[in-house]
Amino acid sequence: MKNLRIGIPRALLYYSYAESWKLSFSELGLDVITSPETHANILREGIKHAVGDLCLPVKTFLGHAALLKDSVDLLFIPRYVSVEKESFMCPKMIGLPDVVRACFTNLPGIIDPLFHVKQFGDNAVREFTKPIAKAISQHHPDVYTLFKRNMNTAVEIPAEQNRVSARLLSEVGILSSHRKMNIGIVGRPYLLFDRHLSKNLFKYIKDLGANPIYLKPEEPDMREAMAVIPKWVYWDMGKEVVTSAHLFFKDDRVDGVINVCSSTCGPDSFTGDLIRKRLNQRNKPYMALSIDEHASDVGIQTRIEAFMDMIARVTA
Amino acid sequence: MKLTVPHMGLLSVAYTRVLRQHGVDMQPPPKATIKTLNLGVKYSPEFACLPFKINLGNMMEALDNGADAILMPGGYGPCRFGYYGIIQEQILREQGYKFTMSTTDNPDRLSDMIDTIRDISQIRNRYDGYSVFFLILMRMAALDKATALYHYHKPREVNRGDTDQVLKQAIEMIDLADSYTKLFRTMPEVKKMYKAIRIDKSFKPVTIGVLGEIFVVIEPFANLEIEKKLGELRVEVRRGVWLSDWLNDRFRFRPFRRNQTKYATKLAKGYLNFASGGESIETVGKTVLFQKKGVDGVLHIMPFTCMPELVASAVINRISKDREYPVLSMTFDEHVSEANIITRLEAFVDLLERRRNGSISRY
Repeated sequence: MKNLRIGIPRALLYYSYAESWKLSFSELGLDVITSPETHANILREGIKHAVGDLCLPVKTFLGHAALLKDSVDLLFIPRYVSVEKESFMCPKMIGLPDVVRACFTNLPGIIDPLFHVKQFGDNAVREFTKPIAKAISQHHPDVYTLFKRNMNTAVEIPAEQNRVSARLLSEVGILSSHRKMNIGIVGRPYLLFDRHLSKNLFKYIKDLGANPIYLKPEEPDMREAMAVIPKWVYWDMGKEVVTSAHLFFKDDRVDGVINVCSSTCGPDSFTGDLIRKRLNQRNKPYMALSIDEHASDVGIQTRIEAFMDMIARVTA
Repeated sequence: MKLTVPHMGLLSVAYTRVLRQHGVDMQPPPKATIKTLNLGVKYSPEFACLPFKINLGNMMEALDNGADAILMPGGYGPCRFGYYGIIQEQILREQGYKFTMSTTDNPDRLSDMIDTIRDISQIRNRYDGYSVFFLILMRMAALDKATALYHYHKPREVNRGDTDQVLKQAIEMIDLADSYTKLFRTMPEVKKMYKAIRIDKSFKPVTIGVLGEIFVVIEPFANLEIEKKLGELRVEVRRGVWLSDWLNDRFRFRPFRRNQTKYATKLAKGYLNFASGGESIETVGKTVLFQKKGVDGVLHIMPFTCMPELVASAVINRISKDREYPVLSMTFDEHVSEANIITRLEAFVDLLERRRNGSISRY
């Protein structure tokens, strides 16, 4: 019998959790098919199918789904509502499976398991895997064990993507004697690490001779950052964005911070304001870079160059 | 302490007089005008939604008029509303305003609301707290009832403008009814006033269901008085979201009224399977309901960049295609122009009329 082919669109939460999904599905004996990296045609296709003024990452997701839908048996679009006890995902992420269903006809089967830690607590993964087991007709305990084990598989960082990822600032190698300009990049993984959407920002900054830093904050960091602002941010990714901004502003070795966000992003419109006014107490160079489908490579590059020129003048 | 709460439809009418009687120095912001909006837009984050901007403008104008305390509801939902208060406080402080700010962090819980009322007023007794809070809720329900009657009479009125006068009067009367007894006596009078309007009983108006983000639906300033405009086009509005329903779902003060959120969730099954915050599930569920009930079309209104309603708008677009049901989504922000809205409404109403007469089978 031929294996079931399961499609995972390379957009949105792919950049945060895909490794664990891919690993689990292939261990269950399914053929995992992922869409290629975003390119202009995928985005164009997404925009064609999107309704209203959905944001750029969701449009991208629709493009990837359009590409996959005819070549797979099942499409995996999990509904992540909350990944922690006291927070939520963005509403568009919560409604994502329904948006995909609404925007296309002739879809293959969609697996949309619910991941809701706020409601299910420690049983979240168990509840998450139930619909998966049913959809691929396998024994639920096996599926559960696999997903549970693979939960914390870190997202692989291919070197050629030219992204710097580090848990701690000290690991980044900033402390070299020949001091380079260090630029902290904050933003959502699905925007930053999609090379087409972010216009290969990391590589460009590197080519200009500076050191781009992205970091994934840990739990204690988040608690610290949330204590600085008046009310903790209740969006999962918003919290990460605010925390890494806080860490960058605190650290003397970081010369400037760029906040990359999608132009009509709801949570980022507020967290951006928090970052600019509340966290940037020491008036470090800070730039908000908003990206939409009309953003051009050159436009982004000019702004980055100008930003770096400014830092050079400030530090000189 | 002069307390101010940003406007949301007729809510300020419901609480101002009652709270004043219990020793709260209420100072509601002046009615929103274009100046309010401009103030709000000037200081808000670029992509904040329209309610945020209007609320901020409200606060600034109220503070300019001498208020020195702000009460802003909060919350922890996926929608941005829960974070409004924090960002607004930050902006106001930056502009040099001096004030105290309190937020209710869990507006869904009765005890939190009662505590908030007790914090700001001279009410110390818990029982009185409940009694005052429920009076406010009943007054809100009465105002909604008067608005619903307005929707029925407006398209049928013989003399243009009669109904608007009656609504204005009704709101004043409900405002004066500051106790349960007075309120129960006022309602029949309000109904009598509406009965007295000369209407064309034989006229069968086109019906449009108005759905969407609650602030934009119930605040005439935010939606450029869209319900009045529809009434003037001789359309009967069936509003799908009411503030009193929203409150009733949480505080059950009208025990015989169905829980609208649960009802909508049931109706939305298959299209939107999980409430993604805001009024998304109501929008989707009620679109299905209106279609079943034979309402001629649905007008879905939302603020620009509203996250939950964007999900809903994608989904109801699909319902519209599947069931051949006319749906019009409109986005409101500070740049929306009146002429644009009127043109689109007229075209939509034309379409519904022709569809009803059978001159077009599809749309």
